[in-house]
Amino acid sequence: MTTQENTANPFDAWREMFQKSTEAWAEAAKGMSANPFFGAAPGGPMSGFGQMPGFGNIPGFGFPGQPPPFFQFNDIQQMWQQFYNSWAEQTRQAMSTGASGPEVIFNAQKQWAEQLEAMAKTFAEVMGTEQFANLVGRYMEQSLVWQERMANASEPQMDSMLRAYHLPSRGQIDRLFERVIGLEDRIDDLEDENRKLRRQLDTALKTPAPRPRSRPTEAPASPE
Amino acid sequence: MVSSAEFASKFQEEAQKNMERVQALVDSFVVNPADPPMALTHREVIWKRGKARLFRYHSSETPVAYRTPYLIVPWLGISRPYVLDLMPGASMIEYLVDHGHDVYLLDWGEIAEEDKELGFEEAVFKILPRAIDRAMETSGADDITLNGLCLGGTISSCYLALNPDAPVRNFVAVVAPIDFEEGGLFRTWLNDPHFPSELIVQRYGGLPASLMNTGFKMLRPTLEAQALSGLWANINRPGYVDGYKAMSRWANDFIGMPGRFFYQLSDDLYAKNRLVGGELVLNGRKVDLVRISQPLLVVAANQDFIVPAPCARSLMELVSSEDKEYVELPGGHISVFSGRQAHQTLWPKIDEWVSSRVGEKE
Repeated sequence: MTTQENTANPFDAWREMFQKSTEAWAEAAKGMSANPFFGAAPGGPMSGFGQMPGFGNIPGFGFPGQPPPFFQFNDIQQMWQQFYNSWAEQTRQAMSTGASGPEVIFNAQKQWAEQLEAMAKTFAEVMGTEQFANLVGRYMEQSLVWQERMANASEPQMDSMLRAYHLPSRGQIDRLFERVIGLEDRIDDLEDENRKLRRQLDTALKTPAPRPRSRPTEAPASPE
Repeated sequence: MVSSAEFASKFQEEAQKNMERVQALVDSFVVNPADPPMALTHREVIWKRGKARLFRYHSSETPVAYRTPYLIVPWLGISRPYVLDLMPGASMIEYLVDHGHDVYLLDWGEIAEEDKELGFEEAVFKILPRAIDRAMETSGADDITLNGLCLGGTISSCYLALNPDAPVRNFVAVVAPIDFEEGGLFRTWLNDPHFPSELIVQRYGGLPASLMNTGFKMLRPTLEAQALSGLWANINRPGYVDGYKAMSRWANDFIGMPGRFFYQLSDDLYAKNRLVGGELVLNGRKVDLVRISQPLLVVAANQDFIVPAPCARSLMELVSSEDKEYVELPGGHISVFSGRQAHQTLWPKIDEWVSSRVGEKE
């Protein structure tokens, strides 16, 4: 039996396991987007969530009147399968080219390094896709929008609390820093101007000055 | 096939080695967990503006042999530049100082939210020219050798393109991203229309260190496992653990990137690749790299996944310098100038290239 055949069975079993679990996740996620808890069904237990001051509707979570959820779970499934297939193929190759028998124990370090390299390549392949970039971009966009809304909702209360304790707010400290940086820049600029002038003065003092004239030169008097 | 006696003997040998490794691991990380002392080359601050500092390095043993100062301009934000002077024997700065160069380092400082307005303009028109002036003034020189590292190379390229008469005798660009279309995974991620550069700047005033950390770790998720695996294999090699600890400390010591600079980098450069097309505009002036005419050494690393070699190499085709050389060295983005092999590859190359182009001190 070759190493290739040896390694084929576990890979198939893993593939099946991943396949099933991603399907289950996809199903669960579809259910989640239809769940009234996330505001998809009007009048659900959390349907008022979208109307909370400072929150508004969150695109992608199936609010009424919003476009369908941006997460296409089938796409994630495909992406995961692509990741898995690529990793499995590279790992299989790494294993089939390695030594067999007891030597495997002594080559474990090499095998491990090859496995890591194979994984790194696979990660790079998957993360280099537009799909992945899109997913990350959208995820970050969503979480920032959320953070912004949370901040907008909580900052007025926080500011009034700080005011009550005679403490500066974050915005005030930011403005103070900006002014300090502005002042520092102006001092630096002045210092630079000062140095430039001093250098010019030094150069002027070092070069022999023309004979001072108290009055403009006049044309020599013509002989009479 | 090995005999069972041979197998048992090899197994015992391997088990013994592993015991020694465990012992070394406990010694180095449990009994003596402290990091080794870093950034030990003697230096003094000769100028500062805001958070930026200009350092001059000295050697107690080697006098300065060359009259042209060597100014290193590292990346802005991301991480600290002490990786350039990591440890004695593993320091690019120490090497150059010991070879008679008058070395200066422009440290952009620890960037935070209050620096959100710091962009390419401030770096190119205000900080860098002044640092160059101060270095020349301190050394009593008429010009300098400018060494841009990573984004410091991009900033230096913009500076030289906008100031063709700058007092820069030579330009060394090490793993400097220029053609961002070749910018690897960062290009793919930042070029996506949904990447929220503007929102990040609005929310945090810049790219925070935590996001920077995540971004770099995502670039190569297996890197830490690979480093640990290297540690396990080499833990008994003299000096390996100290090097590992120092590099590991530096590699996890991220700092933020100023908002304006990050936005310009992600939008103008990574997404729109404006530097190569001559469309990058700073303070109303177009950055045209063809105006760079200084002797040029471009260095790229063959396993660099942050700035892939083609991304750095493109500077060669875009400048008008007649004296120019490109070298692609083994290593990654950081290891090319700070790794264990750099003292045999990059550092001697820079020393030889620069010293043949600058005059000796009288």
